Amino acid sequence: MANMQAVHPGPDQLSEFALGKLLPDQIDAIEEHLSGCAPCCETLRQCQQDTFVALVGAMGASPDGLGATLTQAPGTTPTVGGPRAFEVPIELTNHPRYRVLELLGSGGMGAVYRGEHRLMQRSVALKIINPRLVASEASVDRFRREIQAAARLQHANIVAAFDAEQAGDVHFFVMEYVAGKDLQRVLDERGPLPITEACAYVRQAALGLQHAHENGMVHRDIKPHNLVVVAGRGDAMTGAQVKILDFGLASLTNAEGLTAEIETANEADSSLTHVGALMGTPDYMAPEQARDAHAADIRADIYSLGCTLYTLLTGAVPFPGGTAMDKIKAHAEQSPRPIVEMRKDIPPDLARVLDRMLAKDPARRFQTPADVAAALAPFISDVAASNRRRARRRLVALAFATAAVILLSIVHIATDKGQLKVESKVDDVQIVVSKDGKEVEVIDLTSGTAVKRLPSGEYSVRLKGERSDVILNRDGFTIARGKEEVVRVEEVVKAPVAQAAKPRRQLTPTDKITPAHRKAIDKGLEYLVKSQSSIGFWEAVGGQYRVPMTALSGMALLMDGSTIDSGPYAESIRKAVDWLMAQSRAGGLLVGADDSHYFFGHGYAMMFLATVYSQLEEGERRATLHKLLTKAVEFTASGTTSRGGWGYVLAKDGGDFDESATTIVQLQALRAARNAGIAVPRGLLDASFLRKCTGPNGGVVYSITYADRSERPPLTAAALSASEFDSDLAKKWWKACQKELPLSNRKRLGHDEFTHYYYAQAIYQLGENGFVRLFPESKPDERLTWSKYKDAMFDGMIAQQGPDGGWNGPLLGKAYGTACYLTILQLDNAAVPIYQR
Amino acid sequence: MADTSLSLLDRLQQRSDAEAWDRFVELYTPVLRAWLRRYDALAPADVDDIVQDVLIAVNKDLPGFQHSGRPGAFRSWLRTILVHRLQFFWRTRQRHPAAVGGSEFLDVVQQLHDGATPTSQLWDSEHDRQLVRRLLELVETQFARPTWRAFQMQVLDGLPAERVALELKMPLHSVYAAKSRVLHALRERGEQFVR
Repeated sequence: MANMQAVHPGPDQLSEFALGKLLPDQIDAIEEHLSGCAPCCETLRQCQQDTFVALVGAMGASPDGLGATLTQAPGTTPTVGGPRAFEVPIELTNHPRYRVLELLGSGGMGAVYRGEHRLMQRSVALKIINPRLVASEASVDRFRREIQAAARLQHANIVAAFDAEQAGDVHFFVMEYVAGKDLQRVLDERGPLPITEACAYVRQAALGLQHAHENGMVHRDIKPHNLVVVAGRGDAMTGAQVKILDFGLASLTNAEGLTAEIETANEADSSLTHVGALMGTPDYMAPEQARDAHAADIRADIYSLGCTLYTLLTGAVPFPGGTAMDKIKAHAEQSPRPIVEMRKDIPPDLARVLDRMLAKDPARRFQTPADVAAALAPFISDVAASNRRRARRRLVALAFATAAVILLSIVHIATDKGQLKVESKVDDVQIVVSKDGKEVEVIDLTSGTAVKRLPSGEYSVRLKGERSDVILNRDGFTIARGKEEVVRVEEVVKAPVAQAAKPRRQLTPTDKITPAHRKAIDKGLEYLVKSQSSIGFWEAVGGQYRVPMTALSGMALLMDGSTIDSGPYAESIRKAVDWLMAQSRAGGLLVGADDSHYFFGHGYAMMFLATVYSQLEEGERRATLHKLLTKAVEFTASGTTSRGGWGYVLAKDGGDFDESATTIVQLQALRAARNAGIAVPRGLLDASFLRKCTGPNGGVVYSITYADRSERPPLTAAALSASEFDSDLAKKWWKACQKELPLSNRKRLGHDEFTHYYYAQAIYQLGENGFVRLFPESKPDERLTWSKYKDAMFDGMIAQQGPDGGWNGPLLGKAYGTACYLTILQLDNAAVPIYQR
Repeated sequence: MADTSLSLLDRLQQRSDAEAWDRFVELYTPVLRAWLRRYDALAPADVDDIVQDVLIAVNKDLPGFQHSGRPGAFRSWLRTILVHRLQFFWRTRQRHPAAVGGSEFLDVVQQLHDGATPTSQLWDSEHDRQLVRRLLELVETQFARPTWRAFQMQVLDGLPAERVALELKMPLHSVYAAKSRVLHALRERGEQFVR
């Protein structure tokens, strides 16, 4: 266009164009101008970006892989861009079971394809999950969980979920392919429905809900939009079938299913203070669900179904006016406009059924969906005959008219149960799940993840048959409502050096270690070796805390008497040391700074590496370790708070927050470093911080700065390990520990490992006579001695050892539990100076 | 900016706009969730609950929010709401585990309260990053594939427009316009939240 080309946009306007600040029609105009104007293109090339564009651009370089060049799939023609996520993924084009036929649509979550099962030639819908949504393990888990929950439901009135699949990196799920139309669209197009038709639809939905209810599930988002009508294959009355679906997969997209989450009321209103998870649109939400979604049971679905019926009959939701918050309040406090005012042909009996579905108090509603279905039946048969033919003809017509196919989703289910997830990297494993000694499930595993829903309770789990190639990461678990427990099948990593049956090297006579203890120790050490990663680390559950787990496991191996150069566990120790050394940072920190509690790992790593260092001959490794440890000590020294303690991170980065446990870990690590000959600044090894942390009852509190001043026995026990024994402070701690930590094999507590890792060290150092020296007045039976501790505790500890030789720490998992108990059981070996008397 | 239409924020502050609120929820739920997943002490179900709680509080308090003009005012405001909801959640659930450092959760929350701590700085950068990530996700579906690719290669991959034109066999002016259109959509959908 000549006139456009004649008048150049100003530089400001071009800049706004480059930044996306112009309106679409302005963009159109400038695009047209640019097509014939090289100088303006040149100007554009030199336009600067602003902060927003820079922010967007930074995403291309992020590990999220949003940049085009990062999303290239293997096996495709390499172009600069590579295929995008919404193309049919290559993995799916050659899928052994499913053939993809056409793209039905795509949304924020991913694309939906129509496909068919190659063998069964069954039509299916395949919903590909946008890889970004399943980039994390957690989102994959969620995805699979949703499918597993829905797949258990098999009912004509519920859209069937068939399968959760993974092909390469592509996750997708397979469900029933249904061509139909959701009731919201039916309403939008037709307005209020005939009584018999509305009742027939709602009755079918109730039957579907009854099935879910019998399987311990609730839907929580029943509304016209989630009920799809399929023409011609259902109910004799209307010829149509209703199926419950949920477009959400809300857990993944986090948005689609949530149309409104609104404040229910101000918090001063006590009846509404506990605002739980609000899910679903408030137009159909039961009052109790708005208060606490977790408290909502099937009766909340009945309420939502009542709202749906009201809407189908009147064309309006029960509380049409106001904000979402007003609506939620109205559900709790007001009655909807009586339906007989809205529509004259409603039989009084139907109005009563509706009232009962919409009762504010769940106890006054129908108690099961089956009751609803029964109550609605009369209204269908009474008027059915006159409507039947017309309804069928209309629905069939609608079905043909619409080329747009309903994209199916699965029923989003909330349950009264919890679930067990089993992960395996190997095929062909069977796992037996037992409750109260009875087998409840045998899970056949192929490589991947399996999910089982289980009622709440305590379970034990074991491998079926004799397996030497795999182990389970835990022996038992407790299922809580709505929670998930994970059991992993782990491949045994062969460690050739350690497996070789070398003669055991004992540094000290082992008459203090009984054969039974010896056996437990050997099994435990072997477990550690087996569970070490091939590159040298151990980790806590969920792959966390690699540095501290590796350091503590390494310490347990050193306690056997092995060193980095000699002994049966030398190879394992060497790998651990190499891995830890590779983690160290230039500034002296021995942990990746992404660990938000890095002073724990830093301290344990310093202790382990200092111990290794002290055993090394002169050489390159010793020189490297010397530098590394010196830096590490400096780092610790640079991190003290104004009160002389340590927090999770450097004081300057953590707002001067300090905390007893990390302080104790630093003190012990600094002692190990000093004992190994590393220079430690004078004054750093000072218990004055712990003195400030000691409460009136002699116990140690979590933090000086923190308001909660409760004294915590695990911390008191830990403090003992870091102190001189004969101080007044230590005496207070001993007294507090003696009171709070009786020597008996009672039920395990969450922090047993932490507590006894330190408490055993302290009592071991106390020996047989330490206590009487501290407290000369004490009677013999009051005195703590190492032999008493062993007699009281060791058998119980050994009894907790798993068949694979590991101990399962309830909070952090097996590496931690095993390292801690091996430390305790091997104290008599006296092979590691820092634990010695 | 030249856009004369009411921003999402404006629409939200006028309360009655249900569609605007849906858009906000769609945009922010994953952002909040991503942040909350960082707290080891929170089970997935807890995360969901807190996301809901935060959204509820945002809906209630949004009419009172005023942009101070300082960069990041909205995310700071949101951070305060987040802190309160986390504290409220922790207290009402009585979920203090018998942990060493059982109060650690509240402590970490407290660090989020103070705008000067590293935790808060992490919130700032994570907020922006996750928000933009989500914006990209939402906006992508609005565009034809070549348009999106042209934007993506220019802005996310940093390739010069000429190169993109060559790769995609697209006229240069369309390449520029693609970038402009997608950026406009991104701004419209959420720029005000990172300003």
